[in-house]
Amino acid sequence: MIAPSRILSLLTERLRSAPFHLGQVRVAAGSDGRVELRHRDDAALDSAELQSFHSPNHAREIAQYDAAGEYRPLKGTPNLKRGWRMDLTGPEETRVALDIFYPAALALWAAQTDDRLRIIPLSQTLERQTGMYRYARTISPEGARELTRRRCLEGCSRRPLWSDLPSPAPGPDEIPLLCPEACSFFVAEARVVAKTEFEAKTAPPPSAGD
Amino acid sequence: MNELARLADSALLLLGHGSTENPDSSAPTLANAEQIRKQGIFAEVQCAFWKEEPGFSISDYLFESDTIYAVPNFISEGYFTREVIPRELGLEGPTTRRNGRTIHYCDPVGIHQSMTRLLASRARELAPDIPVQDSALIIVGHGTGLNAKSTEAIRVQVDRLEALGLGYGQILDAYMEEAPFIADWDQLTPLPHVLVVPFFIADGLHSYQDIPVLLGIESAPTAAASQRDVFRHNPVHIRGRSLWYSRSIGTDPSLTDVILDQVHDFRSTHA
Ligand code: SF4
Repeated sequence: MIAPSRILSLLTERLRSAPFHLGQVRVAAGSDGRVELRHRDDAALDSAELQSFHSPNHAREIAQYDAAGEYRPLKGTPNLKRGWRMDLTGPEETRVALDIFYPAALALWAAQTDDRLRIIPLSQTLERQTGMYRYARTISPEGARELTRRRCLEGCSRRPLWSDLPSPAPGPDEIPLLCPEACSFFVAEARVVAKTEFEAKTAPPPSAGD
Repeated sequence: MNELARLADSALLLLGHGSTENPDSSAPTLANAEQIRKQGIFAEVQCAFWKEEPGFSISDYLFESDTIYAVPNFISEGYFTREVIPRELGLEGPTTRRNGRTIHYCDPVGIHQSMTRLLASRARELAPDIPVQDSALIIVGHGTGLNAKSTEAIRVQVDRLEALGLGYGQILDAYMEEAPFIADWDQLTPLPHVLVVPFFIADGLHSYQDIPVLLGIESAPTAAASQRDVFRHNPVHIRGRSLWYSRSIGTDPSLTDVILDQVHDFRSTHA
């Protein structure tokens, strides 16, 4: 037998003290046990001004592209579009929608709550890469910090737990968006940075008169 | 306990490649997961991706079941199924046990026997009314030295399709980047009807743009908004033949059956 879902029971518990936020999504309790999701920047808007959705799977439509129509492969990118609201039946549907808006976020939060979350150091993530990404491991510590600042702290709503750079602690009204291990986007960019560093080092010094 | 009831305490993990460029790559994997979830066979069904979220390496956290069947939604054995996935999931072989959990690593969908039947029915649906003896069925893949396994997978499918005795005048393999080249399709067969089925998991640039250009049914690739239109013009009368062009085989809704077949096969082989 499967134990009743830990993720669902944590979420159900958290919904009792809604509203709360997960990344850019605001989760609020509606009447009759219903749950409303909307963009946190739309919190003050009248419901009638927002496009309403009633199936949690519509989250995919909302989260797929940004307001300019660009694809959002990294869902932590803080460019979730506005102008929508989801009217959901309860914790199960809320979980489905939140899993689409921020994949694995609830599972990682549950793991952290239960002290099961393993944080993988960046060096370990980069060391195990093979193929074209093998090169990522040669990134300098400075290059890695700079990339973490740009890609993670400025470009992603998740909190890179594997980095010692300070990131803002989640507020009491937030389910934390956790990143226990550098993602494939980070690794791909680390490879590019490592290559650029290598080329800068090996470039011939400018000759006199250049 | 019957076969399906045995899985009711287990979870299914579908592993896909994904893309940072467009949602088409992960779409079939997500759709298959949704379909299987609705069937209620497994306690949990989740996806993980190499190039999208959730990533392979954190997929452990997604589950609350003790037994997980991991099925690569890949078209052939190769770098991803042999190296990347086992490494990122921390697998030790067909079955890995850790922290009270068991992970069974199944074969990729593309190499399952039932993929052949899927190709056959896709071809039939593509052009139900043509005389098969006057038709050539071409299964097309990428084909490069980089992944010899994908070429081999297509050759195996062609042999199996032949063995089914479907009556086609010819069944052939062809590739984008190695001989026999799909660009020469009209040289590969003299038959008046030609059916082309891409052997890929997802529709994407290859099936929307590259192959149509090689077939001659589209001019130079453009970033056309309605890429799916390319599949709506069947048959195209070109180079003196009737040409039918299919979506990638992995987008067929019946791929869910192939996924389940891989799980059943794992269970019977490793019982
Ligand atoms: S590695 Fe950085 S960019 Fe990737 S998910 Fe974590 S915080 Fe976001």
